[in-house]
Amino acid sequence: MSSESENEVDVKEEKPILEDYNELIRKANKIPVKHKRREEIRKAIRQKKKLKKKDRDSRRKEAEALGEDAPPKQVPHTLESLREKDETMVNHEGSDSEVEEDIKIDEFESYFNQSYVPKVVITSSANPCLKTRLFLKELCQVIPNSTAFHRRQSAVKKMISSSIERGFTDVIVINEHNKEPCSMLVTHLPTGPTAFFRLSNVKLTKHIKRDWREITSHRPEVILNNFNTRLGVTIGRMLGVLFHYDPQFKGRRVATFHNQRDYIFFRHHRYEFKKDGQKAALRELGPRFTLKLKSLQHGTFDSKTGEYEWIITNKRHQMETSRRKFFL
Amino acid sequence: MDEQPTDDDLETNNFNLYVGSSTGVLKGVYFGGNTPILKNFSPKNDPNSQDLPSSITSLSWGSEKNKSLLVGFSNGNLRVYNPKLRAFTTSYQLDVKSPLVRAFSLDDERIVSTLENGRLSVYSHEKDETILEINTGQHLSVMRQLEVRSSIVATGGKENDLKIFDLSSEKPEEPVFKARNVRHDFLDLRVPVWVQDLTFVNNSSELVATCSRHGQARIYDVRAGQRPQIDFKVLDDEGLMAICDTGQSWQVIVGGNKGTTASVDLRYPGKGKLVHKFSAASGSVRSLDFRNNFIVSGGLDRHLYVYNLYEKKAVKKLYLKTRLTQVIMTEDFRLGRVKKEIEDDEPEVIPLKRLKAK
Repeated sequence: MSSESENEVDVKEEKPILEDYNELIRKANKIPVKHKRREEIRKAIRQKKKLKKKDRDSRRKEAEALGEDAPPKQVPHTLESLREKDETMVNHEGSDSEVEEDIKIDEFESYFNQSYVPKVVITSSANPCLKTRLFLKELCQVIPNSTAFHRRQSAVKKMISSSIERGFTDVIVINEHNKEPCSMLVTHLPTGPTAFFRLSNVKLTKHIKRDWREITSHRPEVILNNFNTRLGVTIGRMLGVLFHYDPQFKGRRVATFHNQRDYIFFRHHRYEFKKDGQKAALRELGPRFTLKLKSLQHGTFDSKTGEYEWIITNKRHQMETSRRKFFL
Repeated sequence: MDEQPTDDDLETNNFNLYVGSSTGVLKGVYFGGNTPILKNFSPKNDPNSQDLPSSITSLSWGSEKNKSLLVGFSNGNLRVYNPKLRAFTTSYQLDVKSPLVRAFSLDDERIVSTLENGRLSVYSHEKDETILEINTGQHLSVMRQLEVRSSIVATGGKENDLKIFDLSSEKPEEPVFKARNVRHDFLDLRVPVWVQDLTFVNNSSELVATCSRHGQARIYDVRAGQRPQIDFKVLDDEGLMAICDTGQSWQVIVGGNKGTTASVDLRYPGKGKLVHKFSAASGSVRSLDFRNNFIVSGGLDRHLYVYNLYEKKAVKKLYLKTRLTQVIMTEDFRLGRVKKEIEDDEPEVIPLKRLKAK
């Protein structure tokens, strides 16, 4: 048996990998005895791996031998690289004057002209549990010039009107479910818009073995990654305006909103340049969380009669037509 | 049909759809062949002015159908767009204290305009003054005229129920019809009023359909009484933003604040019937228009959609880069390309380039 199989391997090495493997599997599947069948299948898989490795090695050797003339490295297909074409993609070089003008007249433009300093209210649902309360506290540390308030019984609409009176520029409401923070409502004042995010995977500083006292009061830098469609640009600007426009580089603090496949990952780091100045070391400070956009509303919060600019709630199946379609 | 449209197409077939945007740019669209032709008409006089552009809040045909388009901006600026010349020809500035809601031309020399604070005024070119002013009540959100007899106008707004005025009557400031709110609900609570859009049904001055931001579509019959004959919550959790009449088969089209466009049958006394939901849009519908079986919707998601009412599907989708506030179709709107002979008695269409040179 063993000599036969060795013979087989020798012969089959000449053949293309996949066909060879398929044929072996087909043969193995016909074996009526269970343990023998499994053994044969295992063998086939092992052989496939071997052949793949051989192929890889030979390609590498070839590339090394050719040097600069080597064929380009194969790039694996990912959901991002195969992303469905989106016509609303914003070209950041500014070749489209119409889109630029549309962006210029939006509600955040006065922040980017540095005409006001952001002042943020952070609050939660009526009776927050411990984790939400700690999360509010840490969020306050991350966002400069922000205050956490006990919500008590106040309604969102009322809260927004009184925040406008007191000169606040943004309101963040964290809601919870099963004693876990579960959603985040961000409203830009005084004229909106309002974004509603699902909040997941909230890790406080203590969960990643850090101390919240480590977060200094310096104004952080903000990194907004991959907000490319027209909707994404609005969301990116909306998250950006929560922070002061003038970071204190002395604090070496950086807050990142990284969008990947419509999930927005928030991370908070302190960096340190190495001696040669080429590399930077990162230390995560926390908290970390993930956001997923559910709706963007025109104007301030009004869930009944307000107009939605974009909403996916209750129509996910119509809108998520493909795994490769992303909205941000 | 499948050929690419050329400039020659536009020479014979003018734009058959006009879209007003929140940046104040008027867009002409022509659907012929596979790729639609799109052109922007920017009304800006002074590119260096610091003022933010104001959005287009009103699009209506002039006294002669398809010959001129009256474009109203929220800052009270009115411009006449000439489809034949493909340019803005005249412009007036209304004296406004609140945003313009809608303007239309009553005849060749009179223009009716309404503001959000409820002031309806008739302006005469000849006398160069306002000849009539009516207060229609606070928080106005819509005013529409009857197409076949434009002196009849209907208005409505937030906590400002439907009123119909006859501007040619002896007492134009007295409404000829004033709606009453529906009866209290099963908890004996008052039902809030917010007329967001309205339309005359089948070009009759007696039947008016309104849609409410709180989600109800209502049909009023002037002959039958002040309360609506049909009061119907169309979509479960959507307020309605726009309504338009199909002029046939007793259907009206409504658009919701979450992007649904739906057709409603009115032949069910006391309650309407939802016929079909078109749910291609992902943002609030701001404006709807209907011609020749096609529904056009424009809204906050920056896309223009064309639906076929009877095939019950979206047939075109076009990204127009800005929030769309108004859409209006020409009488002869159709999707495919139609070869048309230029009639001799019609004046020659001057191409854009030559116009600029002059």
